[in-house]
Amino acid sequence: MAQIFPEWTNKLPPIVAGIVILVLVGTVGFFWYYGSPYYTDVGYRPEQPVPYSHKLHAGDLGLDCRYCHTGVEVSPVAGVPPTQTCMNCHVMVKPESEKLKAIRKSWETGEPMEWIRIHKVPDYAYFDHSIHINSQIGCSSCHGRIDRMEVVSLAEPLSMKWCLNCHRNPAPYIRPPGNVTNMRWVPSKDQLAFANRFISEKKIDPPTDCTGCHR
Amino acid sequence: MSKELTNMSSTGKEYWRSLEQLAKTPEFEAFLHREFPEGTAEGGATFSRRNFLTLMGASLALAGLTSCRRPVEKIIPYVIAPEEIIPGIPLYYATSMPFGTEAIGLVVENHEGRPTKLEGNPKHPHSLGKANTFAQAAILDLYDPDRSQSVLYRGAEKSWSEFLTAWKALIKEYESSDGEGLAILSESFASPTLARLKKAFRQRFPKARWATYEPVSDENILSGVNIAVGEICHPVYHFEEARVILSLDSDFLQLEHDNIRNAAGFADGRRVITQDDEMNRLYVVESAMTITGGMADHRYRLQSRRIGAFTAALALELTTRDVPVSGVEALGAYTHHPFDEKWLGALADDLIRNAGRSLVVAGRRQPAEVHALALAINSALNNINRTVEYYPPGDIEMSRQEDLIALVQAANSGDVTSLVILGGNPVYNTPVDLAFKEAIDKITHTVHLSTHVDETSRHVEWHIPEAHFLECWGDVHTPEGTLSIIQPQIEPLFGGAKRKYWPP
Ligand code: HEC
Ligand code: HEC
Ligand code: HEC
Ligand code: HEC
Ligand code: HEC
Repeated sequence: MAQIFPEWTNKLPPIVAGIVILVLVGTVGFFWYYGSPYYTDVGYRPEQPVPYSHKLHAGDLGLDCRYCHTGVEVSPVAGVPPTQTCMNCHVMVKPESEKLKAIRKSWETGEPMEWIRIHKVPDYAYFDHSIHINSQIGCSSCHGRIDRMEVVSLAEPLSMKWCLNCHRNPAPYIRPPGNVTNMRWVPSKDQLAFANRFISEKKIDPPTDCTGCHR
Repeated sequence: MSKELTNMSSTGKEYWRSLEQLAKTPEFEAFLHREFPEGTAEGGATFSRRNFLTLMGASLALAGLTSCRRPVEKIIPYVIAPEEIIPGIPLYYATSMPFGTEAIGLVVENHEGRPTKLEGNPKHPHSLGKANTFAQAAILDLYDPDRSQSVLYRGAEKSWSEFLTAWKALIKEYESSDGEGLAILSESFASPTLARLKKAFRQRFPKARWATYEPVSDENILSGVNIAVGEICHPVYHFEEARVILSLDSDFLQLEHDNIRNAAGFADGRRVITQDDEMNRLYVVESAMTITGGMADHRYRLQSRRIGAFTAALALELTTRDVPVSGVEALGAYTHHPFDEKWLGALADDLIRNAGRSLVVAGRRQPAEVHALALAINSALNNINRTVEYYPPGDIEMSRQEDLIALVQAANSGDVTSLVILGGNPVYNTPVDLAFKEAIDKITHTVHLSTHVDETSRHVEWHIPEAHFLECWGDVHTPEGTLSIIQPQIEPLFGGAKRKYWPP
């Protein structure tokens, strides 16, 4: 009696199993990478209502970050400067510039500017600028070379892994006093010795337990 | 199937699932014969159920992908930054919350000009750094989207200035008649400023009526004290001094006047730190389980209406034990009582043993007589000025039902032509038998100030949105006279809202 199934069907189960596994791994891998902050977030640079340039203001003009981000040393949030701060200069500098129209409008009407947020930690995680700045962690460790950015973009993934990498070993990032907003800072040769002294003196102890950040 | 349902009655017991089925209304018959209830689309010509499910399935599957996109969020800075505000760091301001005739001293957490949390002010003698459920919930009231948002004239939106014009014309008519026909129905308050305004109003309109009504108030307590000593006074309890406490239907830990201080005092009296400390003992007689009942060492269940008799039995019991309670003769000769002899006896003994350090409190719900008797018992036990003090209420404006009744009668007989209701919802919460709603409909001009558009607002000519206490200035004082300021935390959220203290 002729066989119902030809011989090649014997190979069918392993082939099907192989395809299923490939599809599964592919799908998981796809979302693993493309759904992660590395793909979705890093490099995020939305268009802002005013083409404000950190490269010009913080880099070329050399304004200190804290001139505009005033809360950064004392408050959980760094904050974005009020319209008034821009107008301190721009009543004199380029008062007619087309690019500053939104700023002037805000100044005249009293309607606040609406900047698009770039750095964002989810609400279920707690982040506080002041404690990091007071532990001598520089802006550029977390925000990259802002002074070279025409438009701010997300330099680091801000993922949990990224936070923990530093929390487990903050020594390479701790700067000597006065360098927090220094964009050009590079670790000196005795960085580790300095940092370890600083950590033990100031009792720096970044939380690595879940409730430290998920409070 | 439907046949079965409707004919079920032919044999056996008749069961029905709704009154319509029982009555066999035509609507119900029609309903039975339709597969889907009215209002459900039964697969129109262009859109079948299957099509719908196919499309929904596909959109659901794709919906997951949209979450991969980052939501756009804004950072909105100030235009001109206020000097004292650093974004991200809350500021704390002291204020107080008027609650009936109570004053709860609070500290408000304020984020960039928005109050977010209320806690007790540790420096305020009546909140001692704690707050109660009402104070905690008051912040939700502030942001309640259902709050009334504009002036209404017979339900139609009007502007504040339109009301002022109408009001000024109206009030002019009463100037010449000294306020004849004008009436005010107010909520109770303990505010020197409001008291002053009331006095000014009285002087300008001597013939106007004024009634104060509050559905939940200490009226019974005050008139009880009046019965006992011939003077209206407010009791202030010192639970921390009391070793033995008897609560007669009084939920003093949660619902009575001054419950924050009561709870703190009670906890102090109960706390044991060294081995020499004793705990206080709490006896509770009540009809329903309350927080206070839950703390009781000895709880006696009793119908609310029998608590007066229980108090009388206790007074007589004390008298037989050589602690004469004044006025007890009025209760008649003591033969027996229907209550648990052992319980009552032990309670009387315990109170006597701790005379001067015991406290009998009765709840708001109990009639004045029970309060008079409680005062007499406290007096017999030498507790007055030790565990309980009495303060004359001064200019505190208190709820008085008789004034409300007089107002309704005057309205019914046409003696009231204009009524201004300052807060509250009397159409809803006055006793039904009073027929307040019908009375108010007979008044020509009515104005209602309240936080919400409620039952009363729908029966008045003008409705005016009231500002929340976090939105306006004010003042308030406690029975002992601690004055505190109500500081606004934010401009009125809803443009139309006017404060209680509007400029004259
Ligand atoms: C003249 C004022 C000014 C100065 C100086 C300035 N910034 Fe900014 N910064 C802004 C404004 C305005 C924005 C919002 C618009 C934008 O994102 O480009 C901003 C945005 C940012 C953001 C992104 C915020 C977000 O949306 O997540 C970062 C990070 C930042 N600044 C860091 C810095 C650092 C680091 C320095 C110092 C090197 C600095 N800024 C100096 C005005 C300034
Ligand atoms: C310390 C003074 C100063 C402050 C503060 C300042 N700027 Fe400027 N801004 C300048 C100078 C200088 C220039 C360069 C003018 C030129 O190119 O000649 C400039 C240029 C600009 C330009 C480009 C204008 C054009 O037409 O090319 C924009 C846009 C701008 N600033 C936005 C802002 C905004 C937004 C703020 C507030 C967050 C701000 N600036 C705050 C000094 C300032
Ligand atoms: C330890 C890492 C870290 C350091 C150091 C740091 N930031 Fe940030 N920054 C963040 C994170 C994370 C966010 C997102 C915060 C959020 O979503 O609440 C952020 C947000 C911001 C924002 C957006 C507005 C806000 O306040 O949320 C600005 C502006 C900013 N940073 C400026 C600075 C400046 C200026 C410095 C240096 C003085 C600095 N940051 C140092 C991690 C850092
Ligand atoms: C470059 C190093 C670095 C990075 C990146 C970093 N932190 Fe930290 N963080 C520190 C240090 C150092 C401290 C210790 C402060 C101390 O103990 O004085 C700290 C402390 C904290 C604290 C404790 C604050 C407190 O009040 O006790 C929190 C919460 C925190 N970090 C959250 C985060 C989160 C969330 C991220 C990621 C978005 C992050 N940090 C990224 C260095 C870092
Ligand atoms: C240094 C701060 C920090 C600590 C400590 C920390 N987390 Fe997180 N966690 C974060 C941040 C920031 C995020 C948000 C990451 C993002 O946006 O992708 C996060 C995200 C998460 C998520 C959501 C996962 C996701 O990818 O969206 C989970 C679950 C979580 N954390 C669990 C934990 C547990 C469990 C611990 C303790 C072992 C812990 N976290 C400790 C900062 C922290």
